[in-house]
Order: sequence, then structure tokens, then C-alpha cells
Amino acid sequence: MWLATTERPAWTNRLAAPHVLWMSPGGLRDFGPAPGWRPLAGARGAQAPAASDWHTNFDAWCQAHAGRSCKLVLSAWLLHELMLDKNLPLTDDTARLAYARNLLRHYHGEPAVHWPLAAWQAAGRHGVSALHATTLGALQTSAHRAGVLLRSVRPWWSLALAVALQQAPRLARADLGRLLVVDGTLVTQIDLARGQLTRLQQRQLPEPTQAALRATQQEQAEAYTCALGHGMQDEPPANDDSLRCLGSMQGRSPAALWCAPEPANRAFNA
Amino acid sequence: MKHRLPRPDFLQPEARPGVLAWAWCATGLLVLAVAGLDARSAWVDQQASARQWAVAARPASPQPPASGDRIAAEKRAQEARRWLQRLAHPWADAWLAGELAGQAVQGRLAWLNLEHDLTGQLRLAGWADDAASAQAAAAALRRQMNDGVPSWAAVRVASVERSNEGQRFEIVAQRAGAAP
Repeated sequence: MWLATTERPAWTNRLAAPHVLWMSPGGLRDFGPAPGWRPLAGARGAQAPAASDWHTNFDAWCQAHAGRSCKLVLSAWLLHELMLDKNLPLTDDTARLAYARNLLRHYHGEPAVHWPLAAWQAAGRHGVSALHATTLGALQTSAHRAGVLLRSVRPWWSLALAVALQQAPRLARADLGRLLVVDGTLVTQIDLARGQLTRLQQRQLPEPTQAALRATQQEQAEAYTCALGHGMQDEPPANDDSLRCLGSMQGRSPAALWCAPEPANRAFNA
Repeated sequence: MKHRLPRPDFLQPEARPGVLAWAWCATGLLVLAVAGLDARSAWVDQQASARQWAVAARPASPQPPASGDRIAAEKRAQEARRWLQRLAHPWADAWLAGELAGQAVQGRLAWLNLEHDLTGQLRLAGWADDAASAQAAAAALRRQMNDGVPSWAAVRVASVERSNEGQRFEIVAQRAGAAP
């Protein structure tokens, strides 16, 4: 009954699940409709056939999927991360964003004035992510031109953190935990203390190898470390307990942006 | 345990309470307002019903006289005197009257009725064989003394009914002494 996307009525496209798009300097990958509850069970079988494929940029995707809604997940290459000191007398998010913008302008010059910023908080610590690769206006323009609704634009590390906590619950319980979100040579390191976020910073590896990754851990405090991501050149060593790799770290993009839903009859398996 | 995870979103750079939070707040305030109105109307109803109950209950119970009221005190004294008089009424004389009158009569005498009340009048109804027995009973009553003073005054045989088996008579007497 449902024909190509362009022939569906506009409201069904709008109500359909938003596509999750991975955006990086090398291109944009469509991971398909976001998982979740569907009001119309029958619609799932008749979704657009291309579950995940590559596009050159966001504009290209919008032209191909006019009238849909989407959620953008940004690679660390597009962002600068800033963590605000605990003792700063900043009362609300507006003040924090202003302070962050000042700081970024100090380090990166005038272009930083126009970067979109997003404030986040976790366990009493506050931080700011800055998108330096593009502006929201450009994204919104491409989306608007194709009738695409942009629902959220989030950095990848926030989703990766949720995925890692689901796949390695020990990370949430350990006194000192660490998650390395690997994106080629750029690693976003998230430190956790009993599941609460304590530090977030971006590190550069000299080369995208497992050895280089492990070398960065040498001079830091002992912690239960997990790593997930992509862009590595080699496989992790087999018997390494110091660093647990969640999934393959090779590839051009993350393997998955969310944990696959568990089958319903898992409880009955022995 | 679910930890609060950071969710930065460039489309919503500053965290602010969503529409749902405001909707919850409005709903909660609405519920409180309705509950307050309900409580107020219940309070008013309760006051009205309490008033009604007080009005209905008032005539059933007698009002005690207010203390410090001079006229009421006099009335109470009068009442007490009256009751004392009543308690001092000599009932024993009335019971004795029947006994003595019966003993004084020869022949058959059966008492049918004795009436005596606080006014002092005594009626004795009896059954005797002949008229002489009735007269003898009356005479015995006249002779009844209480500390040397006759107990009964104006003793007379009030009515006599003759039948073939005897006669029914009545003796009427008045208590001698204080008027009621």
C-alpha cells in the first residue's frame, strides 16, 4: 500500500520514526529509524528499504528523504568539548554558555563567536559542547529546503556513554571508570566515579592503533576502562584485561548508535 | 540504578523545564484548588448541621437554673420543704388502720380495698356479715391513737350494700392533723 517515500501523505512521514544520522567530516551515515515504540505496528514492515547507507553530507540526505524527520549524531571531529570548573560562580545555563563562548573565543579566535553551543550537566558537573564544523543555520536551511524536520543534534559521546553503560554495567559500579570513545585518532575520554561523570576531555592519538590507545592510559590513574568506537587500524590483543573493547573498533563509522533491543523471550532461556 | 546522563542538544542549548513539567504543575495546582473549595463547602455544611442539631436538642433537656439567681434559690427552698413534708407523711397509720379495725370485729370481716393518698383521705372497703361489724370497724378507727392524739377524724361509714351473703361497706376517714 505504501509506495515510495515521496508519495506518502506528509503527516505519515512526519509521524514516522526519525532517522538517526551519523555526521562526520567524511560523510553522513543513515542508521535508519530510531528504535522505540511505534503507534502503528504495520508501518514497520513497510519502511524505506535502505536501512543504513552513506551520503556525502546532510544536504544530500535531506534531498533523498524529503519530508522525514531526523536526529543528528555528531562525531567528535566536529566538536570542541569544554568542562567547567566546579567552583565557578555561574548560576544558570545562560551564564555558562556566555562564559564558554568567551573562553572559546580566547582560544580559537573570532569564528568561535558563531559556533552553536550546548550546555550539559551530570552529577553536579557542567560542561559545554561547541560545534565548530558548521552552524545550526546551515543545517536548518538544508532541512527546511527539503521539508525535513530536525529533531535533535547531539554529540556522539552522550549516546556512546549510554550504550557503554548498558553493555558494561560494571562501568557504572566501579569506583573509577573510564570510557574511551574512539573516532580514529581523536579520543573522547569520559571519567566516571561510581557512575557519576567527573571528567570529559578530548585527546589526540599519534596513530590510530591499539598500542597508542593503551599508551595514553599509562600515565593516568588506574581505572576500569572500556573503549568503543571506530577508525582503528588493528584489532585489540586477545588477552588484555586492562582495557575492554565493546565491539569492533575498525570501520568508517560506529557499528551501532544504540543497543539492539533484546529478544522478548530472553527470560525463558536457560 | 539509573544515573543521570548528560544530554547535550544543540537545538536546545539550555536546559529548561519542559511543557510536561508545566502541565504537571498546573494540574497539581488545579487539584489543590478543587480540594480547597471542597473542604470549604464541607466546613460550611458541617457548621449548618451543627447549628441545626443544637436547636433540635435544646427543648429535650431542661435548663439548669443559673447559679447566683435569687428567685430560683427561693423556689428551690420551697420545693425542698414540700418534699420534706411528703416524706414525713405517716403511711404507717394507714396500714395500721386496717389491722386494728379488723382485730376489733367479731365475726367475719374481709378487707377488699384500701385507698390512701397524700391528701389524707382514707377509704377502706370491706365485706362483713352484718351492719354491726361495719360500725365496730369504724369505732376502732376512731379509737386509733398516735401518741395520745386520734389519727383519724371524720370517720364514718360511707356506703353499705346489702346482699344475701353479707354486706359490703366502705369507711371514709380523713387524716387528723396537717392539711395537705
